[in-house]
Formats: sequence, structure tokens, C-alpha cells
Amino acid sequence: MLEIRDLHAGYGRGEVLQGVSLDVAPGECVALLGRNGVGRSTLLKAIMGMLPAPAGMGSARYHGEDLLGHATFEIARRGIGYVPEGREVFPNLTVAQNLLIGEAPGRSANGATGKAFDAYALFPALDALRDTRAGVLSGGEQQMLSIARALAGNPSLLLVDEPTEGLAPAVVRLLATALDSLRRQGVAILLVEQKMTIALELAQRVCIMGRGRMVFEGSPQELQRAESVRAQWLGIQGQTI
Amino acid sequence: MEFLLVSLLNGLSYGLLLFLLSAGLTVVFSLMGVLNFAHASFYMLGAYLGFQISLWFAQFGGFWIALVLAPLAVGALGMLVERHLLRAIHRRGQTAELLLTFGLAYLIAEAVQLLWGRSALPFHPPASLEGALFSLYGSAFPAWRAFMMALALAMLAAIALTLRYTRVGLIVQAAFTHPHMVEALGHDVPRIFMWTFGAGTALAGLAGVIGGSAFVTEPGMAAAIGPIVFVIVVIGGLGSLPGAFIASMAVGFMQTFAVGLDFAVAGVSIAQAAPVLPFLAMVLVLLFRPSGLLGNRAD
Repeated sequence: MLEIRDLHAGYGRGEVLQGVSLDVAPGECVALLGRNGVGRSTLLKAIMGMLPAPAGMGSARYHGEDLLGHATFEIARRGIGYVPEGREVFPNLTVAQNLLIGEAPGRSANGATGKAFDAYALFPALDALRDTRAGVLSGGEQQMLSIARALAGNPSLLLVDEPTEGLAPAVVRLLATALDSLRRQGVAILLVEQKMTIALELAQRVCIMGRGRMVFEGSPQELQRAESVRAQWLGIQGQTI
Repeated sequence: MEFLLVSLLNGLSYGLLLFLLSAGLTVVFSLMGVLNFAHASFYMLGAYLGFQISLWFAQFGGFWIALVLAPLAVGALGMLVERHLLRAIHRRGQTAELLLTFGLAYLIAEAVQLLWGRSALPFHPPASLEGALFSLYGSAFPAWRAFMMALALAMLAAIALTLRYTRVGLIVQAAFTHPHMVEALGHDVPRIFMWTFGAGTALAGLAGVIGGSAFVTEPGMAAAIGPIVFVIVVIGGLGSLPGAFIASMAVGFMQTFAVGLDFAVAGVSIAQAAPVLPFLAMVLVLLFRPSGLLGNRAD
């Protein structure tokens, strides 16, 4: 449903994305790997129409409709949820208020899962924190909130940028379980993730970015076998992943 | 005692009027990063349109109609300015936006003189509000001042309740800190900016109808009150609504009390120095607390 072809984009000075192609099918989790600075976060921002400069060449389509050149809110309303790096919860608002803002106008009441989203069922830990200001939550709680907020609009595709960054292993596990259950309910996920184990566990397909374009695409098993790819583009040698 | 109470009430009503003006300026700044140099010009426009509308509808209680229509007209004009001027140059950064509003201030001042002339207009509060509401130790407290206070307080309560308890208010609050994230959740942030700018200018227009009829409606009124409003926003902390409230009250009291006091320091009476006091306060605040009383900007 998401088709990106030969996309060139960046922040005005210099192109970060130099011809990226990528597909995400309904109900699929695609992990986007690569070293820091190769443009994975930039790709997510380009999809959301959040880059300051307009995209150069190439195309990005969602359910056959062109995304490039549209305002960010229009892209979101077509059913794409965005969970940014650094969570970006609204610090002065409560958990419940953050979730309320996630229920944007014009987004379908029940998207991929076919029913209204219940944040507190997915993340029971948030239930007791309904009236707590988001700014005082722990990193893990903020991440849960950020994911739940994006889901409140019932997207059929979720873009998730580095959800486990800086979090304790127990929280990482909880988030991985939640993302996996979302995918099983039919929400497609494009996941930028640094932790290889989590990425390979959740994804059906793995794409590796290097220097502004895709350098590998395959199943987690294929990546396991492609040792030279891992060595060259991820800096992981010998070890099993 | 008598002096204290009367000055207190006068200071309060003047401070509330100042807050009606500074609220819009500070909200627009914190939401959009635009320091609107033309804000006081919208105040002046409110006064002139208020005068004109109350003339047109003189048989039907003109002033009251003006009190509703003039702020709406000014707000609509503000929305047009945001939609067609500010938004177009937003990509060029803050300097361009600053220059645009600066030019707009001159444009409005010239337009006002072309349409209504250079002298002060006979714009007064309606007869029903002239006269005293009550007397304190022999000095009358005008009904007009009481009305002005009640109206300002009602508007402020409406803003506070809207921001705190409505969905739109929450979205605006969220956009104060994370406008891009709010838009990524599917909210039309550019439209929110336009309505906020319109609401801010409408408040300035309302202050204009009140201030213009209570004090004076003339082409210099924007230039007279503009600097005071900037001082308030800086003292309170750029972008802080509670800060602007405290600073508005402080400046309101400062000016009314100083005018009434008659003792002198180094040959200059306090009353003579009254117009300078807000600026003096601003310099002190900038020296000792550069982010303003309630500002939270690190720089």
C-alpha cells in the first residue's frame, strides 16, 4: 500500500535521500536498518511531508495516491500514523489529553483493526496515569503514550522511529510485544530500529539503507546469511544475530 | 486610603485593558514565533471601526453593535493578513515576518488618516454608562470603568476556559510546544494558526473599541500604546500568558499610582516620570531576569 520509487529529498542543502525505493504491504512489518545518519529518519519525515524542502525526483504513493507535495496533516488523515524519534509527547498535557489530540478529525473511526482503538487495553500501564502530565512520565511510559497517541487515529500504517532507544530491556520487550500484536491485528508497520534482535523478531522484511539508498532487501533469514552485507552496512561481523 | 482605593480600581481597569492587548500578542508569538509589530495597529483599527459602526447604527444602540462587530471585522482582517501575507513569507524566516508586520503598522496608520483624517474623533462611551456606579469617599467610580473591567474579565475567563477545557484549546496548547507533531496527528495546523492570529487581533480590536471610546481615538493611538504592550510582553516573558497578565497589572498600577503621587526625586516628580516607569521596569527585568518574569526560554 506504500510505494516509494527513486525518492530524492533532504533538508535543502544536499540530498539525504538519493533514490530510495521501498514498499510496505498491508499488515506487514518492515524493519529499516542502517548506520546512524544514512537517512532512515529523513525517509519517515519525507513520507509524512515534514521536510522543510520539497522532494526532488521520485514518487511516494499510498493506496495509489500521491503523497508528495501534500501537507503533513493531509497525509496523516489518509491513515498514516507517525511515532517520532524522541517521542514528542505534549509535556504540559495529561496522558488522556495527549490521546484525545491523537483522535484527529477526518481520520477514520476504525481503520485497519476494524474497531475503535483502546490505548489502555494495549498499554495497561497508562491506565493509572490518565491524569498525569506527560512531561513527568518515564521514557518507557512516554514511548507507550507516543505509540498510543498515533494509534488513536486508527491508522492503517504506522511509522515508528527508534522506539526502544534508551529504554530498559523489560520495557523494550513490552513495546515489542505491543507492536507485534498491532501487526497481527492488521496495522502495517515501518520500523526504524537500532536493536537488531527486536527488528528481526518483529519484521517480515528487512531493508538496509546506506548512503541515501537501499542496499539490501530481504527476509530476516536472508539477512542472517548475507554476512558481507551486515559487515559492510551495519558493521556487524561474524556474530550471529 | 481614598487615594489608594481609587487608584487601585483605576489601575485594575487599565491593567485589564492592557492585558486584552498583550494576550493576543504573546499567544501569537508563542504559537507562531511571530512578533507582530502591527498588533497595536489592530487596536487602533478597532477604535476607528467601532466609531464608524456606532455612527452607522446610531439609532439602534450603535455602540453596542460596534462592540460586537468591530472586533469581528478586525479579527477577519487579521485572518486575511495571516493567510495571505504572513503564511506566504513564513519560509523566509522571522526577519521577513517582522518587517512585514512593521510595514503593515505604517500602512494601517496611513489608511486610518486617509479615511478619517488626522484629528481625534468624537468617540465616547454610551450615555447609559456615563455617570458614577458608586462613590468612594466622595470620588466617583465611573460605571464605564466597571463595565470595562467586567468585559475584560469575561473575555479572559473565556480564553482560559477555552484553552483548558475544549479540544481546540488542547490542540492549541499542544501546538505551543510541538506544532509539527500536532500536524502529524492529522490536525490542520496552518488553519489553527490563522484562527489564533484572528482571535488575537480580534481581542486587540475589542480593546480598541473600549480604549478608543474611554480615552482617545486618533491616528497616534497605536504608536502611543504599542511600546507599552511590548514592554508588558517582555516583562512577563515572551510567550507567557500568565506572565503577560502579571505584567499588565503591574504596569496598570504603576502608571495610575505614579500619576497620583506628588513627591519628587531629584527634582523630577513621580507623576512626571510615570510614562517612563514601564520602560525602566523593562530595563531592570532584562538586566536581572532576561527571560522575563515567567518566561522559560533558556537563552
